[in-house]
Amino acid sequence: MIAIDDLRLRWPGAASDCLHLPELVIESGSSVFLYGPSGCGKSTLLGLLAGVLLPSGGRVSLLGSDWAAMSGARRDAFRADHVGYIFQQFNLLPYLSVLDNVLLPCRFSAQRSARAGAVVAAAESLLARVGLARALWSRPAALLSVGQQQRVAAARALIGTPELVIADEPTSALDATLRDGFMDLLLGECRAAGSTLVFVSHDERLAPRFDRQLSLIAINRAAAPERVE
Amino acid sequence: MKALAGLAARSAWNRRGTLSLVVLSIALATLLLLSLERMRSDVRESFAQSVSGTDLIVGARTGAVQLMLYAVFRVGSASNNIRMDSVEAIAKHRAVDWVVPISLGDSHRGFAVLGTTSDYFKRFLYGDHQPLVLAQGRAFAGDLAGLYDAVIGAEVADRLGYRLGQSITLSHGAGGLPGAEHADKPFRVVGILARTGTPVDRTVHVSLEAIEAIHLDWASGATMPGVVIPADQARKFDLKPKQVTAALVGLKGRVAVFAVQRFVANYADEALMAVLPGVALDELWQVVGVGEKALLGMSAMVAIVSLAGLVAVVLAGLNERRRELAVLRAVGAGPRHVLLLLALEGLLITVIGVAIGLLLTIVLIAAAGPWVQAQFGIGLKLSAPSATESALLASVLTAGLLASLIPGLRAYRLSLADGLSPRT
Repeated sequence: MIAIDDLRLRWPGAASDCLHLPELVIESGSSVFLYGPSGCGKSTLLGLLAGVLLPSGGRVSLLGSDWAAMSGARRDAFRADHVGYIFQQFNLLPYLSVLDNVLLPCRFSAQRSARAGAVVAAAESLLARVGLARALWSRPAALLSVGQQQRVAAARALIGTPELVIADEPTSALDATLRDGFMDLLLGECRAAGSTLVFVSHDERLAPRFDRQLSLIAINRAAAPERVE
Repeated sequence: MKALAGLAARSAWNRRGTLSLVVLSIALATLLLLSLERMRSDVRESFAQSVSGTDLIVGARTGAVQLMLYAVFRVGSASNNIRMDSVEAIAKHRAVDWVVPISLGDSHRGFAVLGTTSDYFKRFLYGDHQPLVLAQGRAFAGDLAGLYDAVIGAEVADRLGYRLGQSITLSHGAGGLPGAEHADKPFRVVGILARTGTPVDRTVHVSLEAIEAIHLDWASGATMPGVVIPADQARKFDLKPKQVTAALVGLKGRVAVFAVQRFVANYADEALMAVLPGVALDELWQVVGVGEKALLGMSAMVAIVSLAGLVAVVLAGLNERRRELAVLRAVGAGPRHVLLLLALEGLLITVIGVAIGLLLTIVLIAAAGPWVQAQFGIGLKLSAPSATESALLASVLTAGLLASLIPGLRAYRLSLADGLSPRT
């Protein structure tokens, strides 16, 4: 699924690398918990996995394709086809309805649209599964609570069953009850769809629920990180 | 593309408060450009329609434009009169088909009074060689019995509510001065002309002899003290006009036009000139053209300013939208999609602004058209945009699209740099 080989990343003007991962392979269908303190480069690594950032050296490949070997437009299309992404918060476009937010990836990827089949029905079924009341579906996303927004974001990341779902601290804005519900939902849906899940958090209490736990501090060979995120 | 256009529209609708001001300013700039252009072309059209079939206008030596404006459009001040025998000499030229002398200077309640011969109604053509048509009544015969007959234009009849048989009195000069009324010699309306859309509509026509008759007891613009000649008595005087203001000349063939023009210019007994209406109009447009260009330049500037406003507003809002751009990147939009999104948004705003401006122009022309027609005799017409107007609209739209590329490129760079984690 994901293969990293001698990955190095150095920000322009920096004296040393901020990331150096000699080797990392993530198997298809697994769930990975990536943790580490703030500023250790977690979001940077996610940017590299999603092909938004390119490494200064080495290779990052998804589904056997090297991100760096693709053109910019090809990377965008490849990401649209194979990656679902969940942010910490502010995931939704406030001016679109809940349903239209879930449908967004299908607008940019014919492949996910095709896999979803009847896209509106697929989006509605996902919204029902993440437990969002039908009455909310046609409302502007801006009117939802944070917990509801994160569930909509999960539905959007899952529509058209992308091979990889990346979640960047999606629970940090949620309280304990909401967080547990969200975790159940995300893990369950990814397992059901067969999608690989890369989940970033600094909350190590969540770690036991995943197939595999990775400490970025432990695997990053680069010297003390310069960059604070 | 369609999906992006929908996104652009909904994103813009979300910020409709600020954007509507931009739309308004673009609409006003469009209104300014379009109404100015419409005014310009309709004024020219109006002037060009006002006289046709007249090959030369003969008058005392003055500027060609001045003679033309006064004789045809009743604009400006009277030039010197010319002698009637000079007019008769021109009429005898072998290339000349007809001559219609005209005498201007009096008025009736703000409308110009034109003294002429009954030939005027046969010879004067307007528009595309259309003759004058009497809507009601008849032309004056030019004989002594009908000395005090008047034929009025459509606008005169409409505005003053005159019917056939109405008795009217003429004022000396432009009117308004006390005691400058020819009240002792009232005229009777015997004919009302159909509307032409030319200065004829705003003219009271009487015979040259009538002009002589009402001025029998006048000298140097005032009544002669102690001299009173009643209306009936006037018929006993010699009313053959000695002087007229100008003469309209028709030729047997257009070829001779310069020969006749030279003949008039070299006329030994009096200093005369003959102008070609078309040439005089061109000369007028050259003078007016400078002002028109300045006005057009100013409205183009207004359009540029409103588009600069568009750029400023969209750019200023961009920083708060970096989150939105990152979300779009995460669902698979590339930087080029982001560029396209912003360009589409700007284009959309421009299109709406231009459409509203076009609508405002139509409303303005529909509302102000009758007033302008009555006040200035210029017919503003509602019609499909002309080639020039379409070109103006297209250039505003193009400029709008180009201007939107500025925030578009900025968003492109931002979304490249930010990726999925905007640094706000």
